[in-house]
Amino acid sequence: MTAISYQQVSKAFVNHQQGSVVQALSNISLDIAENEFVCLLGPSGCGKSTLLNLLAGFLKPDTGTIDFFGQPISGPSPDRGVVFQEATLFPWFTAAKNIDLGLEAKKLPTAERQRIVEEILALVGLPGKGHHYPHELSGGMRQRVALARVLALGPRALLMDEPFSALDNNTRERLQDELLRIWSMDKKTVLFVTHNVEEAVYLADRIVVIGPSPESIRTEIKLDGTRPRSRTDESIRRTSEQLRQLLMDLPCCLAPALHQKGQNDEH
Amino acid sequence: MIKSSLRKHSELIYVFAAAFLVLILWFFVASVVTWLRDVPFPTPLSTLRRLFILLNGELLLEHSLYLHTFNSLLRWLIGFVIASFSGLIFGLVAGWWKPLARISMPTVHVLQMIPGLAWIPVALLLFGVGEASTVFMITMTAFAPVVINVVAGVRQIDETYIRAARMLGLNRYMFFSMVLLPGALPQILSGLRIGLGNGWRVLVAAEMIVGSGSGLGYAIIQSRWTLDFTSAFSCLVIICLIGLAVERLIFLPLERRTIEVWGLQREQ
Repeated sequence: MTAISYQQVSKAFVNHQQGSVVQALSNISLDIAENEFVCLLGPSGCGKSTLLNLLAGFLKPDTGTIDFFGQPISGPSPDRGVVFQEATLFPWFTAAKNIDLGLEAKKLPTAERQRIVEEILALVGLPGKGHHYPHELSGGMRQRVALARVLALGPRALLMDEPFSALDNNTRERLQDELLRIWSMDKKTVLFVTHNVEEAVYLADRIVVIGPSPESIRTEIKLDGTRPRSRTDESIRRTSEQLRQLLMDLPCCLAPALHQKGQNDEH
Repeated sequence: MIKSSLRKHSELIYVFAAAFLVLILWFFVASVVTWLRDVPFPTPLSTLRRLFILLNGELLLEHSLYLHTFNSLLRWLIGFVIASFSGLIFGLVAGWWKPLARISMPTVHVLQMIPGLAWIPVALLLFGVGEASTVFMITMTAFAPVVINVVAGVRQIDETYIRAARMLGLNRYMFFSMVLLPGALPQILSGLRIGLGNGWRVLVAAEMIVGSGSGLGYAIIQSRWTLDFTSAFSCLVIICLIGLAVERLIFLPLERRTIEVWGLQREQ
């Protein structure tokens, strides 16, 4: 079944300082199947995050439609859990309370909420760490909590926006393994944005390479579904090499500052 | 350990030095004025002596110093509570919903510009002579800084927190109380602190028009007629000490605690 369907989606941002319009995405059509793990790969500023933010409901497309399990998207929803680049845990709440917030919003009974929080903390490898405030946790732990916060909601899809890009290599690889472990236990549709070739090749069922508009989708690579993969495997290395070559040929896109500005263009 | 105790020592030395500077300046001014103009400008010593007599229960303008202080505190508290509650709620909504801010903030900034004393005719016209007028003046001077700071506080909340809140499906009440309010808390605290200070400072002016004839501000104003300047200075000392105590013992620790608990210090 198709979980996510972009149809002819375009999105432009207005740069208010210069009065110019920057086309971030033009005429994108992309289908993602249920339980598929798709990586959006591309250089910074090509609209990868915009594509994700549109699906999250943070932004509205200028033209085209985005369907989620057949329903048009009308705004953010716990059904589409987002893990941001920075953990964006609320610093004034403990890790457990951060996870609990979404459950409280769902009006679940207190006992059940406590049970879920404990369970999810154990699932992401942080059993008994719920009483810590975010600033007491390392960057990797914070991203685990951010993932836990989303998993607790029982979403139908996970939207991950360069979630591990701020972490050191070692932590990043461990979190990739954790993510795959959790995902294989309870497969969800995943849209994972990254600019890291190895990450995409290690994680994805399918890699969609995004380039600058107007030719947004450059190519797609389907990987065989076996997991766990070896990071040093010959065929993995070949795919990485091929992708890296492809990225090298892509021109650099929007200036990051511009991109940021447009992101505030809310629903 | 040694380092922290050393630091505490030097902290204490600075506190004493600062207090000493105030007393020296005061003493100097008092001496010079007494010598030049031949008027009995109260010195720190004469004020302290008078303060002790008043604290011992001698009546000042028919009331004890305690009652004057209590009445002033009560008016201040009522005015401040009204201003902070309404300012907080209004500020949160205006900070979130931009059209409201666009329409209302110019008025709030105008309010901010009005000096405390200028509210006297307005208060008299609205409420006549009495308690309501006093409280009104305190409320008006405390309201604007609270609103301005709360709005600024909400505005600076990181966009991703707001996105996260929407993604988590928080309802409106949770969004305001668990995201906007704590997100803006550092600025809210400084707004409340400024509001509290403004209200306390306008107390003297506000009590000029109170009918009941009590309060520290009232006692100070009355010294014009009674020429009991040392008593007026005693009241002034009480006002300063209370203001200082609230700032140092309530607001500073509160601000420090928010910063610590949220780990904001690290990010800065």
